[in-house]
Amino acid sequence: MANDEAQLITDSQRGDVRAFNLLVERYQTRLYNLCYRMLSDPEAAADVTQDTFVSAFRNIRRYRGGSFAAWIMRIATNGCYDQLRMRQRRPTTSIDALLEDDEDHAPRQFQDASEAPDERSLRNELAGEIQRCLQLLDPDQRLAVILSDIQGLSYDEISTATGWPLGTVKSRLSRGRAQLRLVLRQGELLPARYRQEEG
Amino acid sequence: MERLSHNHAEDTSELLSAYVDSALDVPEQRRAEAQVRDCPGCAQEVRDLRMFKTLLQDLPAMQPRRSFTLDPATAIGPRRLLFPTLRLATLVASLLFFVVLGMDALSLGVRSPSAPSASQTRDAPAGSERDAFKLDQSGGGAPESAELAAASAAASTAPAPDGAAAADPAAPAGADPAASTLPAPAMPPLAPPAAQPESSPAAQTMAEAPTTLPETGVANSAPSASGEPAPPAAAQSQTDALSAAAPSEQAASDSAAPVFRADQPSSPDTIGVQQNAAPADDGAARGALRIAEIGLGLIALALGAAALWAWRQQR
Repeated sequence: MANDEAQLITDSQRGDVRAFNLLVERYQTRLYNLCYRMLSDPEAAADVTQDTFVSAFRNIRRYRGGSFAAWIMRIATNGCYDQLRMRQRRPTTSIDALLEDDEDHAPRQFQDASEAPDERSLRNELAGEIQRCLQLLDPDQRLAVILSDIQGLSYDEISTATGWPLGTVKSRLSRGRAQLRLVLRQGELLPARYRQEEG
Repeated sequence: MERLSHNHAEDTSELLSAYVDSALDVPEQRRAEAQVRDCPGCAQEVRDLRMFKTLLQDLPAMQPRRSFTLDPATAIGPRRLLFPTLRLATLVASLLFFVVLGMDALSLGVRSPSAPSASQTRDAPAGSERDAFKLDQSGGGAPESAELAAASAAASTAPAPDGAAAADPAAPAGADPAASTLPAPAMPPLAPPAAQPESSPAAQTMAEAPTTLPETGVANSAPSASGEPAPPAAAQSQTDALSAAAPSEQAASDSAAPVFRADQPSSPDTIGVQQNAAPADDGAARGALRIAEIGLGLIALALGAAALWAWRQQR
């Protein structure tokens, strides 16, 4: 798969759009989830994801090897930070966020057919709570937790994707995890096994 | 930061967090293992961290509502950086080349032969100028000074009156050229006005002087025949008039000899030093400009050829 991906990247660097679209299909779900977890807005996440791929194709000649996932996530995180800065300058209220009961606008989750409905409901509720608690974190801590614990990137890949030194990656991830655990424990949706008190 | 487990240093939390991710080097890994083994609170924190990490990893992925693939018809291809870069470099090198060329052309214009005669003075030997000076000193060139010289020569043949002797520094023309830098203030004889040159202000002064002494009978006597001693008072007034005339005479002789002054160098030694320094500086600057022109021209040509090659490759 690595060789296949390397060939697709080489073809893309020569201007082959079809080869690049194969890469898009491989990474679009991961990138969309990254953007959604950061921005908590499906439309904004879709816009940033699309912009990421357009920018990646234009600048693919600047890719010099290493983790392609980290390289393309670097572009996505920059787009997310731009969105967050725009929100700070011009706060807006998303109509989609107000229409909580509108299933057409709510982000869909991949469903497990073997899962019982009540378990599915609880899991969906927990996912929503985690997403809400993630928004309470500092953006840098939030990004560190998303890239490490949700996207599964290594510390080196996180350093590439964010541009942070390795020590900064460790400290922000440690603080983000601690803060998230604290906030989640204050809620009541956390399953019992996660609410185990320390001795 | 809230501490969920027992109190320990923040770097210990970081250590345990990286330990959960297996992101420690060997010494740090051993330290973390020792911490977990020896501290129950740290062991509990490690368990907590692993559980939350699993919780987050189990989060369901969000499904995008559309595909993000690019349209081949409208997608903007990868930027080709080589040709634009070479094109810009060629342009910069060409501009620098023309700037240096312009500087060289301007410097040639400044050094055009409209500037005065350093070469002329360089070519003329200094000695000849000193000789010209001597000739001027000896009274050549000015008609007034020639007549005055003749008049003084004639006056010197007669015994000078006592009163007039003090005022008569008269050196015969050409007798001692090295003695003074100024023409000798020749004492004009007590000649009738008709014998004096009328255009000279000194002559006018001298013409006036005899008219003040008509009663003494001196003014009317012919210059060559005058041998009679003048009375002292009359002589003194005559001397005063003559001494007043002398600076005027000096001014006249100065203005009558402009040619000498224009050609006179300040010093023969400084001429050579100045002339030797200026060409050396000019030559070095010209050489540097030429080298810069050639270098920049070659660089611009090379970059242009490379840009042309990159453009062909791009097509």
